[in-house]
Amino acid sequence: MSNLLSLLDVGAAGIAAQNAGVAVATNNVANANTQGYSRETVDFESLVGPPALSGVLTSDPTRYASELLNGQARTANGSLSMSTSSASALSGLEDSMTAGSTIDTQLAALFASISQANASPTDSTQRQAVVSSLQNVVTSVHDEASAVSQAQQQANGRIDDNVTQASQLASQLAAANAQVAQNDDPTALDQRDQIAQQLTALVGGQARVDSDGQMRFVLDGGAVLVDGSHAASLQTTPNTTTGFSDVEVVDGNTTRDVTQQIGGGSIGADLAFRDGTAATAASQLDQLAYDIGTSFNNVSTQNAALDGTTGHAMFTAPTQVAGAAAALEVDPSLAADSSNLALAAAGASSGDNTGGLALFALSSQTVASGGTKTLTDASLDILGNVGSAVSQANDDVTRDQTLTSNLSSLQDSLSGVDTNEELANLSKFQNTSEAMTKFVSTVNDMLTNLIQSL
Amino acid sequence: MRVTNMYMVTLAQQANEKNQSTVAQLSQEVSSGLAVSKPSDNPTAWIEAQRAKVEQTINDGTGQALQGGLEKINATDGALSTLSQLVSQAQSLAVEGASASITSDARADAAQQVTGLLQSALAAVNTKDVDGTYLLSGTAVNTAPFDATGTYQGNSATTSVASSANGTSQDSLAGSALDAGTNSVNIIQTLGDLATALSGNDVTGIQAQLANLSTAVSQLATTRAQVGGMMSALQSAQTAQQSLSTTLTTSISGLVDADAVQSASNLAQASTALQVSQAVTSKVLALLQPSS
Repeated sequence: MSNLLSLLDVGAAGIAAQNAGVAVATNNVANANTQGYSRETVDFESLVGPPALSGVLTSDPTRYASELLNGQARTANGSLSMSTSSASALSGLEDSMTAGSTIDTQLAALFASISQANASPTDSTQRQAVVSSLQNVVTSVHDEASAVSQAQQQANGRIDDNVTQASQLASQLAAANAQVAQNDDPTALDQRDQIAQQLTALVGGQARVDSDGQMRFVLDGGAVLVDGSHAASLQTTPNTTTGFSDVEVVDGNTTRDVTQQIGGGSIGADLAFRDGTAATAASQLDQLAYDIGTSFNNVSTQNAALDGTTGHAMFTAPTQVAGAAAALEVDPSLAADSSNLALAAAGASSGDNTGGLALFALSSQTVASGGTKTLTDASLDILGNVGSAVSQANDDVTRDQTLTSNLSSLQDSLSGVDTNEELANLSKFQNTSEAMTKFVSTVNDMLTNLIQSL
Repeated sequence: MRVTNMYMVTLAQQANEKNQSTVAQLSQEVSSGLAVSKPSDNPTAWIEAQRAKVEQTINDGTGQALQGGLEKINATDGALSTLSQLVSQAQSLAVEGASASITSDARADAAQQVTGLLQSALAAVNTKDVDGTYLLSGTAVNTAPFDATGTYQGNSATTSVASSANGTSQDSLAGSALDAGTNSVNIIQTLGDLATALSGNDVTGIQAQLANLSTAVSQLATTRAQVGGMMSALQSAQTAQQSLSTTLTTSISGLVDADAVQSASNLAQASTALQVSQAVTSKVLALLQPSS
């Protein structure tokens, strides 16, 4: 009789085990569309007790996740986030720089108007056309410089916002670590992975799970952002020289500038854009504006205006390269009176166009970029560089999308929920549970018969 | 490899997005006719095309300058042609006036005719360009080349226009070519001197001006030949400029224009691929319906 009673225990344990399986399968199905969820399974363990009784035991559900795969996916996601953000910022810059008439186009129109004025050097209409073309060149330089400046400001704004968000995620990651340390709950692990992935998408870096089960997040360059349940914070501080924000890691009393070290995620993309491509374009525009002003003025001041006087500039004389694009203006006296356009050689009569021919010759002279390029080629180089950067970024996006997609499919293959599989498991657990119920019922009948026969 | 429901949906979604993006890009290409519309489409081709456009704009300006130069030279040639006719007429009158058989009254009449010719000659050499400047005063374009006495007031400088990026063509003639110099005479003053000799019944003086008129005819022929050379050079430059314009247009087209047939074919293929991926997505979603 004691053996029969033990059989009831075996039956009860079996029913409980199947119920646990049903619970896990149901939870899997419920989370089939939950981002970052890793499927779980129930492991049954056969028990053999003395002398012949057996049973089943369920351990905690097994979570199907690979830290190696997750780490690779985080890195790939950070890379994708960076290339996507770069492509977006660069495309925006390219669109705004080419929205109006570009500098090369306006320079070409200026040289064409000078050429026409040379055929009638004293004609006020032709002279005024040259002055208008000069104004158009100035406008195009201002427009492109403004586009670059605005793009840098927008990137800076995004950096400020994303740094705040990254700092919050670092705190959340530390909190998730603390929760995992207290209770190795699969849901907490999933949430921690999700937070780490979001953080990587913002700042790049590396998140690794150490042997103690705690995740550590280290930025490129080595600054530790999260160590177990402790998180440093990220903040931005205005740089008095550049006017843009520097990114700092604050850990207690220690502040570390990581602006140059963040090389991944959307913050890394915006930093690279703001301080790299856009900054280069801005300095190239300054150099071009300086070269335009200097080269035209050098020719113009040596030649004679309509009244025979010399020393007339075409642009306000640029004093330095930095800021030359924003400062470029048509010389006020020329803007007010086109007769100040110096088309004649010094000492020559007003119908002479030697000065005008010298101005036209600038179209083919390498007077820009330290005497290595023509003015139009230098202006085309600026847009060409931006275009190449956009093209490269788009290629990077395609590459990173492919890598992320492949890793995502591998992750999904391991951790994703297949509802068909779970439904089959549910049926299996249900059938087994019914069988166990029948088993218990049979044992119970046997016990009843035995008791009645006593 | 385990294939989950989410993986199938994601795969179908990615295929749809990719195909939709391709169709959008090709539609833009077919509708605009441009394969390269911004630098990032093809940085190298865009820069080359933009460089060609810059060259074309400058070349167009050069073309207009050459046209202006040609008009100026044509007007100059017209003035010289008129002057040649006037000198020829004066030469005929001088030959008649130098004849011993005609009377002093006839010489006085001839003097009046030569005076008329002189006024016409002054008008011809003081011809203005369409912009109101004098054609034959060198670069002193606001000064009438010859005053009433026939004294040349201009200078001997000439102007040129750009005929290419690095070349120039002369587009003006200084009136000094009509002034006295080595083997040349002041043509206007010669006419004036002839009128004076005729009115003064000065046969010797008339004969002296006949020699000067002969020199003037030769001088004008040489000058007109010089102008003809300028005209020819300007026309050659204009032809080269027009040829360059055509070359640049072809070059730009080759760099940025889409191959219409190829683009349309690609669009058709991409559209088909999109339809297929949409159908696959529909099937996948149907498979995932709980009822199935």
